Amino acid sequence: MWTYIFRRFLQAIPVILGVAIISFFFSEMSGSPIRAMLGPKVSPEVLQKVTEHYGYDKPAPERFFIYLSNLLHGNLGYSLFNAGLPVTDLIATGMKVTLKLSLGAILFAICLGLPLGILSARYPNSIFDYAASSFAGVAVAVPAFFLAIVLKLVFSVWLGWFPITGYDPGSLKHLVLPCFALGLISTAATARLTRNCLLDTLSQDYVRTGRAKGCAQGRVLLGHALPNALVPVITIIGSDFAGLLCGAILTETVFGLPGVGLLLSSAVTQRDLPMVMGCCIMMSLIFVFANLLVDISYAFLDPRIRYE
Amino acid sequence: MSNALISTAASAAEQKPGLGPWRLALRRFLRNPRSLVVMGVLGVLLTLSFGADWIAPFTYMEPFRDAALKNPDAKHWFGLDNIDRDVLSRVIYGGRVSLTVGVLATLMSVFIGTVVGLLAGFFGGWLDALLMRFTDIISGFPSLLLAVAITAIYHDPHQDVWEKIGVLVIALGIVGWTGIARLVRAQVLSIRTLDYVTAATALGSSRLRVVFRHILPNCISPLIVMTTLAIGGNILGEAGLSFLGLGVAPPYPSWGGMLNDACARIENAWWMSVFPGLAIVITVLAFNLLGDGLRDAIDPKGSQLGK
Amino acid sequence: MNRLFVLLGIVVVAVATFFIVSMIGNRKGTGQKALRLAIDTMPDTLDPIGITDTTSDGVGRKIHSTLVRMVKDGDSVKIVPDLAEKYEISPDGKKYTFTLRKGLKFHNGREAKAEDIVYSLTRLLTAPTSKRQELMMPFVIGSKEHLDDPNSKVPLGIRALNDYTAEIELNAPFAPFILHLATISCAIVPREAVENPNPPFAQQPVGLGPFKVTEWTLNDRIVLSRFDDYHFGKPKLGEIDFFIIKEPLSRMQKFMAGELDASDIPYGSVEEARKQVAREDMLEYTTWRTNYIGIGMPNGDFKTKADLQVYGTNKKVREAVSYGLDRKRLCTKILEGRGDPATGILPPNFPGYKPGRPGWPYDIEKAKALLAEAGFPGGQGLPPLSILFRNDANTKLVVETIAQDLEAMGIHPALQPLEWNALLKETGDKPFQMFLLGWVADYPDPDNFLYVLFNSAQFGSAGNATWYSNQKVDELTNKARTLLELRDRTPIYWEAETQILEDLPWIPTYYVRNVILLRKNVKGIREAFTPLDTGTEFPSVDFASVDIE
Repeated sequence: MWTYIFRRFLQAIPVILGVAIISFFFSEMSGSPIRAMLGPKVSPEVLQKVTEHYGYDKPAPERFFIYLSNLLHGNLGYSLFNAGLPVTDLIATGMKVTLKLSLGAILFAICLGLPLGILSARYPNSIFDYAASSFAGVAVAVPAFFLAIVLKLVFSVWLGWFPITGYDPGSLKHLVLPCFALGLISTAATARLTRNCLLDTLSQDYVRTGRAKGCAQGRVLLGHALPNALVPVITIIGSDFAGLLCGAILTETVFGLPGVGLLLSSAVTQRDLPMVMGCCIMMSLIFVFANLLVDISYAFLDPRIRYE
Repeated sequence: MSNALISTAASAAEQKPGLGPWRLALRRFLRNPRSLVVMGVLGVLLTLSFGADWIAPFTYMEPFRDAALKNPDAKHWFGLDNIDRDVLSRVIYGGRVSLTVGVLATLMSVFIGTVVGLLAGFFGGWLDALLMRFTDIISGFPSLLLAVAITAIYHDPHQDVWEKIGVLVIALGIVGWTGIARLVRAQVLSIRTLDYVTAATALGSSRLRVVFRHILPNCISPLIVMTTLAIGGNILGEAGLSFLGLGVAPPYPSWGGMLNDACARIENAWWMSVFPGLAIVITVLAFNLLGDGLRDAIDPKGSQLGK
Repeated sequence: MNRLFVLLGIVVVAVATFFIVSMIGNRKGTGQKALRLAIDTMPDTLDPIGITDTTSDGVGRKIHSTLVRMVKDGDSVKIVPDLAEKYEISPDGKKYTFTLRKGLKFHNGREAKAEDIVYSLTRLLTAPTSKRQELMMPFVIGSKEHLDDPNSKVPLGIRALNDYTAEIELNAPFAPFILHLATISCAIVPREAVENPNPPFAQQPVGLGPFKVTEWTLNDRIVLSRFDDYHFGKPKLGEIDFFIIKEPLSRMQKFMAGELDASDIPYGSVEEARKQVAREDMLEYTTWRTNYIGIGMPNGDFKTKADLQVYGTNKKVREAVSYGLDRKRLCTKILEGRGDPATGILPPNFPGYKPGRPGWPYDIEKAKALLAEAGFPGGQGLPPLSILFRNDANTKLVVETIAQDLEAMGIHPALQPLEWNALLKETGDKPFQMFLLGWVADYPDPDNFLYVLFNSAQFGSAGNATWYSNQKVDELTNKARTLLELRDRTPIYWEAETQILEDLPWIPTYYVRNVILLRKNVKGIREAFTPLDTGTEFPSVDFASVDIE
């Protein structure tokens, strides 16, 4: 088991390195960020001075080398805005919000999607099944931010049940709508996948054996079929979670939640290059780590996989 | 493609000599009522978008300065936006950008993905490992972020609409090919070892010929389905980028851009957000259902394509 | 089966974590009389020398004080001594002598001395994190040399004569210099707090203002508490809370819900606000910010640049555009009253403003006629036009409205959004055909508009983004800089502005009107605000006298 984990970990390193290179490349392409920091009226001498201070006058390879060596020490650099705070601190603050958002969305997906999928598999090709599939189909076609806008319109503006925007650390009210908007697509995917995997499993021989031996339908469904069917479902949930953690930029924009996605999009528009690069690397780390976790739980649940 | 079609083709050949597998698929497709509806909807969408100049009631930027009310009424079915422009016309014109970007970006993704997948699957070895690592890296980037980065970097103050569309196509194309590459590679790997391919090589076909004549055609059906789904995804992607302000320049409308404008005015101008959003949903849904319909037509037993 | 339960257990733990995490952040108030304000972004720094944006200026003004300050004077402002008891300017205009009040206490208890003045102003010039060196450079003797090398042997014209007297010597007389000293970047700070890394000076600075920083939580809030030893008396408020709320709609909602005492109004919601909020709870006034369309002129190195011909050379075309803009519609309908149609460069009541300028009343027929006279009837024959603008919601609105008006004349512009950095670069490196920008003065002196933006010594990023060059204007603005009395300089500036308006390198569009929500029970702001204040932070108001009833 541990060799498997170690192997997968090693495979992740070139990916992260690649991400670092590509994000550096992109920040290179976008030019020096110093002008935006200083504003419309700046004398050439001041521009030069500040450029030197932040190190943007050095040639690109030298800067990349400095960046990499910092990276290996766990230092992602300092933001050019945001009070010059270290990128890691800023991401940590944003993560608090994004984590809540992602967890909430995944919870929605699990609590809504799993039962839907199970019921659809229990009564395949019924009206319920058909309705559920249609719902899933439509849900995938809706852009998350449009859903967010519609939800805002219906529940905040017309019905007034939830606050329109904003973020309050202590309350859950503000998170309901965004989590729902974000989670809907995962819900649809989970429901669909659960249904198909379960149907697949239910037609397997060992299930037929179980039924033939006289087990009750429910017991068969939940006790035997479900655990095995869930394995691919977990993969999807896991990578969805990873994707959500990487900042749902659009939903956060619509609902005004100061998460990682919003941090990142303002960093891109402000040309806060250290922040952009730091976020890219952090996000790919999360992605890789989450996928690793999923793979490990996969191997944990299904011993056959470990021996690949 | 091979197993399902060969068997269906075999049985069909017994019943109706002369009908190849593609014709059969077409017949199945046309017999499915859902597919016909979808084709109809897509036809309407395409006509509206590309015939916008003739069909739209007004232009997309003229101000109706004297209009007293802004909400939908008889003259302006979808109402007026915040600078007195007709929303219906803007929705119709907006379809052009969304559809063009969606389709072209998908073509680009499919091209890159197929090439990468073929190379990786067919040659194997270090090339495979290298290409797959590269694929991992690209898919390790959150896709919207990468697209945002690409479009945000490219700023040419003399761009016109087509240049901007090109940038969007490239951004979305670069972001979207990884899934296709993996699919093609998996297909190639499973087909490569089949008997008839070995036979062809043994009989002296060059490698290129084997690829084009034997392997590629059998990848096409799952590829077709994935392509239609990708079109939907790229339309959503373009909407997202426009929503963030990175799409085509104003005043040219785009559905995502219109949602951006509408965001601040949710309370007092619901028509500005609902109609463009519905347009996106209907279009993407149509493409997704088209993909479903194609899959059911080509591979009705679902043996090949999985879930 | 067991494995499934293990996994389910993990999920339950995740749920529990979720709820625990979401409960973090519940906080109680401090019980003090607090003024609650909202800002849209965390200030980058509260260290005076790094402050470049209005939000940080507003927050910083409550923590720091300067030698002199600007206060309301009718519809305009005047300068009064603040930390300085008095100041004198030598007859030749080159020496400024400040006498510091005695007994001024920093937030850390130490008394302020003249050497603190020298320290603060010198670090404004030489510190690596400074962004406002141009307040000192090139005016002060030795400033250029010290900028290049902080250890330069050339004497710097900032010195302490004794414990309570400081002197600044300039290379040449420069009338607006005293106004520089009133800006936040020239605030007096204590060396020991700057050099102490804990807490970081950029987050929790020590100053001479009526409030000190007691809490700084990233992207959440900044809390300022009363400084009892403030030299002008104990502040009436116990505390000022700045909440970081990024979403404009959210800020307004919180105001309506009673959680904030002031808020700005998001775009598109002014109508709503007027309906739902009582008039006494709103405040609106014209600020000193002019938004304009800039036209690149083929001057300097760019005499032959192709796309600058016609628009940059044919005055009648520019005049046509100006008369064809329906500024009233833009201001009242599109901006919902957040602007006043512009009639000139300087905003109303700005020092040096000449009342009674006719402006360009909307007349589409006249515009078309002018265009025809210029040789382009109905817009035919005009070269392609690109208009650059900053890619944010408000500017997009304005430029699209302008495009509608241009289309009505037969001009078909291509609108090019750029984000701020790129826009600054484009307009700073070379003259661009047409672009939308706004100008808000750093300090209230006509030099800050007319010299900085229209003198040919200022081409490009120094301020003259249109590359405008007119010998008469150069002479007038050069001369007016050296005179000391505003009443002598005003007629010169009138003449300069008239000439500029004739040449029309700018087509001024509107003066920005600040329309905000401010509870009527907040006292002291309505009486003291000036047109320098945009937003809800009110840097020109002395918050020691602000109170809530």
